[in-house]
Amino acid sequence: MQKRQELTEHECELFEWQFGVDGFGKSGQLKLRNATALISRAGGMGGPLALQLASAGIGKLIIAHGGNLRYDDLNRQVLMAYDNVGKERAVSIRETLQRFNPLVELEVISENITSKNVSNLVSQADIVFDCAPLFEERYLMNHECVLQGKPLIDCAMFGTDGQVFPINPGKGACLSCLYPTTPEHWKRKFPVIGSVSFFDRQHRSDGRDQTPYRHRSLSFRDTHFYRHLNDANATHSYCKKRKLSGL
Amino acid sequence: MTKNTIVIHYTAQLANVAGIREEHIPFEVGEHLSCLLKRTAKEKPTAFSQLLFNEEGMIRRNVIISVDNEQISDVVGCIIKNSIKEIFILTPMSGG
Repeated sequence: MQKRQELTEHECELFEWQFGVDGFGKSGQLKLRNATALISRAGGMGGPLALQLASAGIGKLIIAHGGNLRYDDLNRQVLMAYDNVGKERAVSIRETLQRFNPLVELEVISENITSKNVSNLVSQADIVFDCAPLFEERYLMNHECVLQGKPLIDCAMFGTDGQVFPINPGKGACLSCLYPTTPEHWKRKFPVIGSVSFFDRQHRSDGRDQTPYRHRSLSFRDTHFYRHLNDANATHSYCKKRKLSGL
Repeated sequence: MTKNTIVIHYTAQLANVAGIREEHIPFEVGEHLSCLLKRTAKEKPTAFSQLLFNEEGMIRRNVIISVDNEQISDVVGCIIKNSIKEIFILTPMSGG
């Protein structure tokens, strides 16, 4: 994606309502226009997220989501279309986002994150959103983002609970600090109604919002808290290695 | 020792197996957090204990516990103070 110094007249017309947002303005819009986000899977969380980023005017979206669309995807995967069941999920993702905002540069890959593609995909992004349901994929993204020093927003949901964990490599805990090993009792299938967890609100603040270590869980029941864990607590090799090498 | 009540919030899988999302539990100031949780687990289905504790009876490393918004890294050493109001327990979730 070619980075620009200014917004076009048409972009100003499209995003005029955002310029008045405190702390954002035209400069924030230009920053967003010049940014590339990688989203791992456009399901119940990645789908609404991609839609929001596209509507807000991000410059480029790279989305990795493999497999063919099934009927039981449709209750939560808002980018998909009923008529596309049986086709690659990437088809629906591309069609919906292009129709929604044709200015966004799209790269939709019809495969999930693997050890073979993760390094290349992460290297192209300014920020990475992990919305994958499998811990194996989440660990791969986490590892690569820590190595490359890329900010990672790890997302998960269960029922009406949602969890957003911002990972800022070198400045705080990563996913492996939070979950050192794949949890024993985790199951692939999880309960969910639409994308309700994603649309949940953040409630209270304890005044420590500036800490890069915060961990906030979101749900309809006010569930939230903060993660206070620094590099010194890292118990796994790559966080330690990163710290020792001064990255 | 003074008798008090604390609110424990359950999330995700833990809330599912407990069948509730929060409950008020009486505690004694100076009680260990792990003892309080074991006491609570006794009244719940076995799956509840399995999610919280490993085979040695220790809190699983993947379970995150916060007391009044502060994450507890040393659950075994955590002693409940008089001023504590709520505990959040978050079991790992991964879905999208």
